[in-house]
Amino acid sequence: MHLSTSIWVWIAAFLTLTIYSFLYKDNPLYRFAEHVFVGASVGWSIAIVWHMTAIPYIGIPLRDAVIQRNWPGFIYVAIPTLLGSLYFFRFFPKQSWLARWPIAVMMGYYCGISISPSIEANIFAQVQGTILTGFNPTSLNSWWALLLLIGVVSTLFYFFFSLKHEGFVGKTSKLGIWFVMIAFGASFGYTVMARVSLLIGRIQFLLHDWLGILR
Amino acid sequence: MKFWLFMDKLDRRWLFLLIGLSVIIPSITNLRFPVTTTPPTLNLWNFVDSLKYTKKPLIIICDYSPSTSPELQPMAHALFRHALEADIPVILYGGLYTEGFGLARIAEETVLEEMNFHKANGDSIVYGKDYVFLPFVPGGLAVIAGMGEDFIGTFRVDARGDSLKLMPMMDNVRRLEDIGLIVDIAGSAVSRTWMVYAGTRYGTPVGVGTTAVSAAEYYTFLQTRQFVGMLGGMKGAAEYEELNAKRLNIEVRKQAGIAMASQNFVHLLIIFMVILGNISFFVLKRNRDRRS
Repeated sequence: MHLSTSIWVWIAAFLTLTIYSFLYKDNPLYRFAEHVFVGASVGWSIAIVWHMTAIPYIGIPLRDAVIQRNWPGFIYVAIPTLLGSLYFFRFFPKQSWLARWPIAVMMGYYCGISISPSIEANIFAQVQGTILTGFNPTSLNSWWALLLLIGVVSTLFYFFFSLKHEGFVGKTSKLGIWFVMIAFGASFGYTVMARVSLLIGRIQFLLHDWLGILR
Repeated sequence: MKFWLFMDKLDRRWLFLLIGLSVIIPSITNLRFPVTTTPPTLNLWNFVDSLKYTKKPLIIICDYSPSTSPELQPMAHALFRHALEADIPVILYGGLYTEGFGLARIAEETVLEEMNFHKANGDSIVYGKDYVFLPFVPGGLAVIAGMGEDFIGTFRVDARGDSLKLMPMMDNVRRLEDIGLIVDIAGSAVSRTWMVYAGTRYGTPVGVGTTAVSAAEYYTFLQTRQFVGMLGGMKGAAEYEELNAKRLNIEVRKQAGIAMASQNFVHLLIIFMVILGNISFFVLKRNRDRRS
């Protein structure tokens, strides 16, 4: 057993234990740790954005442009900076409409850049992956592909609400429910693993980094 | 009947305690279980390894926050180790969110410290030649598009504030198509953004390391080969560590591998409790039906 000599490890261990104290019941120590976590996250983000974005991408280029009297370069940085700054007008109710300008630019940009690749990646490639498989009865993969096709089609039937779920549509949609349940089961199994992994991570920190029990 | 009534009214805090013990006891007793490699991990490992022939850089993206780091940090370490050991140029990047930058830095420090002691083929790792570390740049999707059109224009400086143009490793990197592989390690759906834009739009191969929660969702993209491979949760990380150890003789502390013993014990406990809970439910239901 080699106890850590770092004050930060001790603080992290204390905060970890206070967070886990919630498992017994809600208490002020837990709420303290929760607030520290949120505050630290926001503080970290602001510091990163300030040092890695505001200064190198706005401050230094504007300063250099002024020193070198490079006015096109100055405008090239100043216009997007001003446009972005309009977001802050959200805090002033009478002028808050100004914040719509950067939102409009962002919306337009994201829509323009997203539509084509999103359709290609999420629809075309997925549809191809579902149906375009050569069928070979001796190959197990072909049977899996067929099962996949049946699963996708029957699941789509379940989510098709323009027709009453009776007769063929009803039976197919019921089959779809089974596929949906299996998918949820797989997701749930993975979710359990994820949650347990987080616990293991913290326990490893306590036993290895803090107490030095684990190698 | 008393037992089933006791089970029905069992305070959940006893379950928390049992789960805690199931994690702690296997860890302390150094229990180890064999880790079998699954195809998504093997495909990713092979793809990363193949980059040593093309010498195209691998981008490792730490797109996650501390809340998911127990699962994802071992992946970043294992990938970074593999690339440095196999002399594959690496671009380490904290990703599209601010939190990832610090975790990428931890990966850099941890692996370099280990490599100073363990690198099998001897020569030291040189910053700017073997790897570079990118800074945080806001913009999300716009950053990916920027990398696709003009890599150096998007990241003019590295995380230390030095010009990327001066790094020998970046001589042949003009845009995303010059990148051998992007591996996005993420605790959210941001990996899909990399797949859609870097993969579909710019044709760069993309792999993914993800939390177990998201793993089931990504199998559809593995099947269509939109992701070249996947590390799913702590199991994926343990598999990658195992491949590193077997094929490259990298002997370091297997962070995820150690965790898998606890993982197995907790899963067994949960399965046992679910079965017990269901039996309790049906026994008590049958008892109530009889009485009424």
